[in-house]
Amino acid sequence: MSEPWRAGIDADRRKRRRRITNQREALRQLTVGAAVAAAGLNAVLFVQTGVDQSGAAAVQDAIVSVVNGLFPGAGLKPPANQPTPSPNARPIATTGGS
Amino acid sequence: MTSAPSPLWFIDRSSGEVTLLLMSAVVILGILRAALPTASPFLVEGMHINAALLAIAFGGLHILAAILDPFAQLGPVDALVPFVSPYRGTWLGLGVVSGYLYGVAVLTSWPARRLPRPAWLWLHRTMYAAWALALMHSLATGSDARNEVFLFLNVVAVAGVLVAFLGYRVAEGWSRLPVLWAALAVVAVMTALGIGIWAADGPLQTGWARSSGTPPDLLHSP
Repeated sequence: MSEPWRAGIDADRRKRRRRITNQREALRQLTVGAAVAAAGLNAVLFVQTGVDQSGAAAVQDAIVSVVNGLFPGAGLKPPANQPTPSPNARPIATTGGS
Repeated sequence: MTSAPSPLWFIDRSSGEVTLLLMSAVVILGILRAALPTASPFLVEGMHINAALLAIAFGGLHILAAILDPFAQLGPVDALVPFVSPYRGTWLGLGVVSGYLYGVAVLTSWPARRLPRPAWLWLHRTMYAAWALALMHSLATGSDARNEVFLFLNVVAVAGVLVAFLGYRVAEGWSRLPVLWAALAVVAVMTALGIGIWAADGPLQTGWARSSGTPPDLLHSP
């Protein structure tokens, strides 16, 4: 037969343990969120720096180079030339008019 | 010598900026932990520690990319010994000193505080200097200091640290030692203003690449 005061203490302990577990989980989620945000920002700034300094083509080459460095078997290649127009495309006037 | 930046140069720049932002978060969380000791201490201190570890990871990436990148031809000596690098030596040196001060703040807190609290507290305050030097290093060494995105992030970092310091740390200490905290508030504002004026007159001006000590063969334009 448990004493009423003991039941109160046990309830307090359970509540404290639950609070600690909840805070640990919140800390874990916040840390993962911060790490993902930092990695994402790093990627955005990587592209931003590259475009600003060397243009979009250089960034494309840089990304391909990084992917190939990380995954040598990927065989990723930057496009050799500009995409060709569709054979049945109708010309559209982009100048003229009044 | 390589004449065009490589992907490693871009990684160096981006990870450097992320490290500065993480250091700013570490400073802000440290200020909140000190000024509001009863406000979710487990979460605030936990995030303060975890953000500090994340900053070490991104700082490590920043240094590694700088050493491996062939563009500026930096070596391990440039990363370890301040003010000897041929590439913007003074400003790169500030980053090295910042790294050492950051190391002091982290290593004296880990794995457990073995130092007497007053000694630990003074050593931990080196973080403020580490952060300010990292900011100056970012503005002066980075080849994209005038890039709007980088500039915006730097302004956000400074504003965040200044607001946390003035709004929480100074406000909390004011009731006990008003003269000391008023003086510290003035020092903080003057430091921020000083860095702002220096940046406007130096790194944000055209021709900074040349005057900051970039080797002539790496300069794209006069």
